[in-house]
Amino acid sequence: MVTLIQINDPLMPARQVPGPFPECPMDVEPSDLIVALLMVALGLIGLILASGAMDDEMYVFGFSLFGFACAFELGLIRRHFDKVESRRHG
Amino acid sequence: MGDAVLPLARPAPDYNEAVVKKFLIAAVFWAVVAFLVGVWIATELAWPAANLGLSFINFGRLRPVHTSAAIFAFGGSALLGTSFHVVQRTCRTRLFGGEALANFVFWGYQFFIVMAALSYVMGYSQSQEYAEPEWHIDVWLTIVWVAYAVIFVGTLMQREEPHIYVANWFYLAFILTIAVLHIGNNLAVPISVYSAKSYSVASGVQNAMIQWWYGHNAVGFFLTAGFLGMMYYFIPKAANRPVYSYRLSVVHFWSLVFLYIWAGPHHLHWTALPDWTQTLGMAFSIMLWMPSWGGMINGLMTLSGAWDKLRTDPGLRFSVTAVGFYGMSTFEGPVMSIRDVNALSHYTDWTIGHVHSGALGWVAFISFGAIYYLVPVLWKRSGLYSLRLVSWHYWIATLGIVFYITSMWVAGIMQGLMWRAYDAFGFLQYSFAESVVAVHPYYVIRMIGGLMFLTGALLMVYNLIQTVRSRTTEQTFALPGALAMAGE
Repeated sequence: MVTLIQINDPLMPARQVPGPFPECPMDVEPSDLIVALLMVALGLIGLILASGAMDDEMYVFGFSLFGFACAFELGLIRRHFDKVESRRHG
Repeated sequence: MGDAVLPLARPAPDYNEAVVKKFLIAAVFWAVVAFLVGVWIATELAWPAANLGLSFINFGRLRPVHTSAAIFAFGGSALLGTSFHVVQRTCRTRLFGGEALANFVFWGYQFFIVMAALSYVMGYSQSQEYAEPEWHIDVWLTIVWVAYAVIFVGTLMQREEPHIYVANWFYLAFILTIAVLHIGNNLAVPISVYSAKSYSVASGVQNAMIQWWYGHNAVGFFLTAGFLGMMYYFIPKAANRPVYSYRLSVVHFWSLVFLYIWAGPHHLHWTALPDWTQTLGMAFSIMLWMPSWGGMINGLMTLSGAWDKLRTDPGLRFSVTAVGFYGMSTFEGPVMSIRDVNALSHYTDWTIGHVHSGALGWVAFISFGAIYYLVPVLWKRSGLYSLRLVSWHYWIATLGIVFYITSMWVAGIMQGLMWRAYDAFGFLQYSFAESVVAVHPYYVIRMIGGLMFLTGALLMVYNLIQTVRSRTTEQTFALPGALAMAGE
């Protein structure tokens, strides 16, 4: 019997993801998670403020807050994977 | 006498130095911005056409950019950065809350500064001095400040040392009081959550009183208590001497925080504020002289036995001169708070001179001293790139301050005298415009003084960049003798 996996295997070798690394689990520090959730909330508030803005100042502030939150989240993700990487190689 | 028991050497914890470095870089950057904008608006005051007819760079909009950049951006970044350094080192523990929270405080604080400055040049302000940002930016700062307080208090609570060093007391007073002041003074009702415009909950003289309760304690707790924390850590470190009197530092702390909070009404002499309140503010301002000078003496006497270091360490010279300016400003302030003196000085440029002797002489100089000490330590360099450049910075900046404050003293006293002069018939002797013309030369001298201060700061920037980058400041580790002998 031919399974889907057996068919795909030789075609897409790049998808053969190695198993989880027992020595470097994807643990997230609680403080990182709290800050990340806070930034999600603040970013959404920024979008809401910009969407209903009655003046230029609130429009600029709302979008800036959203952009700041996105940039901060990306920074958190980058630092998280940098740490995982350094643990894997360290 | 029993044998002295020396504590065993413990390995240093893995301190979070990255956030301290970021704050130091921000402090240096904002210092240059603050001084540059200051010079620009000083030029506008001397030659009003320098605003080029552009609304977003006129004096009214750039002035809060200058004050906020100097106080909150430069001073604030220096305070937050050094407080994170000091609390970790004196508590022998890493910052509480992890890297993400510390980064949130850093980037969140920078976001506040940029948003505030942007709102000023766009013409938005709640028209309260040193509290110009509108409600939405105030809310943002509150969130960041609470996170900062959580980190600082959390670090103190998880300390490995039994004692809380006095510098941390001053930093803690700064953090907690600024939180109360900021919230109290910025209570406002926005016309809509989607609008930047808001109205203060207090009005009339109550609003003025709350504003100057905030305003004077922003000076007392942001620009004084916080920087005293800096003084109590970095002067002993740079001089390699213990604090002259630890008991005096504790007396200094409690008397300062108790007295400062009452002094605000002296900003409202000869106004609709009740007379007794003005007198209360004046009396507490004069009493403040004593703890202020107690602190100054403590800072200066810490150099007992190490005065020679002023010749060899120009960074320390900045710190010690700062303490001298602190003493001078805290003498001048109580004098100006006396109602009769205030009748002459208020609304004149004397006040501007007084503020700058404190801001440039005390706040900026004590920060420069800390920055010159910290950069080689944090970037693991053998020392500063050029001590001669530090000396040049010191003398240019000192001369710049002298130009600034002396010109403002003369201009201010002249303004005060011209405004109160009557002729034989009881009419005012001078029109307001005549007093404006009379102070023009002093405005030019003030601008030159500011330019010198800016030049000194640019020398510092070059020196610090070279300190971090130059090969001449790389640390060289000598091999232990035995290893060297073995040819390793």
